[in-house]
Amino acid sequence: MSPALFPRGFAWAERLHRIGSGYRFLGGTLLLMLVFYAALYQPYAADSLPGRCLVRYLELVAHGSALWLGWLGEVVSVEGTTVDGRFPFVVVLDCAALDAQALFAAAVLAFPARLGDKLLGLAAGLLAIAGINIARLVLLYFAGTRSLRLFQVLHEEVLVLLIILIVCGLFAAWARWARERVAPAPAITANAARA
Amino acid sequence: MRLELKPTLLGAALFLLLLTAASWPWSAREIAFSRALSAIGNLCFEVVPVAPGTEIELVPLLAARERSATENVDSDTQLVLRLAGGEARLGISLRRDAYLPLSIFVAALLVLPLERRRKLASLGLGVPLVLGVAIASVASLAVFVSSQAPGSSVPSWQARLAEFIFDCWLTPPGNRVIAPLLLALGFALGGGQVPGWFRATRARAAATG
Repeated sequence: MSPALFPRGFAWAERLHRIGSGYRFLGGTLLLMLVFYAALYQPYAADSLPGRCLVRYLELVAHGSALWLGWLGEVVSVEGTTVDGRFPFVVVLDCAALDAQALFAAAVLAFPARLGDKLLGLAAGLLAIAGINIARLVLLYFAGTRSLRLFQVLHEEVLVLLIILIVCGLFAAWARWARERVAPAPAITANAARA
Repeated sequence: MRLELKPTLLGAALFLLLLTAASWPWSAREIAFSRALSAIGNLCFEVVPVAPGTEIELVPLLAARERSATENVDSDTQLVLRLAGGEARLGISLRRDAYLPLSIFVAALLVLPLERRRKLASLGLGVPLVLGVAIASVASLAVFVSSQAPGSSVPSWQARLAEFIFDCWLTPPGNRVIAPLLLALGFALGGGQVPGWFRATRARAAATG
């Protein structure tokens, strides 16, 4: 049986500890997001290494979208970051869900868990978000073929919210899994529940 | 696990319901919001000059205007920039940049399990904060645009800061969702409300580490 974090009668200390832990996590997430944003959203020169990497990533997203659209029976072609078809679109930095990926990565890295679990969570989560973003682009393509207004609403409001909520869900699922991987301690769980 | 999952899913469903109700397109509400926030913003811009040689004014539109080929949003407000060389008008959407983040913050806070008094205090602090950030974002957009004009008198440090804010804060679309959600989470943490999975992890890590 593992020891309790605080003895009985020290609920106030546990509460302060809990608040401090939460703010450390939130502060760490914000700080890491700032670092990721500063690295990702810099206006890099097109011929610089980060600039080329970002363009290459956008091209990958464009190719991924075209592949999925092809599977769904659409006749599309890709040139650079442009997907040409019934509703042609260009994949720009804002379309790559890099903000969602930065949020997920920052939250996972700031969360108190084992390094191996963090790396596994990062790899699986970032891949999942990239896949979800491609699904978003495919959905936007079909919306665009039907109505420009529908495309605009989905693009600017609905899917932006949805992808961030999915990221929150993915993070919560990973955090729950990471918790289960830390030594199981029913006594502590009971203690935490009492608090 | 089921006990923990059920209220979370219910909370998420309630959050989406509240958000859908609050953000459903309704032009009368959007015009009223644009008028109110423009008035507050213009008052702020009068009191705090944003950039030397630049006058800013927010002009609410009488009806939402569909975007032109050069704009990337349907505007409900015009950002008027008066520079030494003339005047520029930019269409902006206060619905997208201020109303939706505000709705997300309020819906999240209403759903989070906080005491009623704490919830009201958080709303009292958070709503002006979200609106203040929206006005500051408009100001930084104005400074960024002004700094791009030929012969601009915006100091170089302010231009660089405005460019950084433009690239890292205004450009990523997810920020309009992430920021109000994190703010609501911050208020919840202040109330000692931490999701169960987080609380237990901390406790176990401390106990085993």
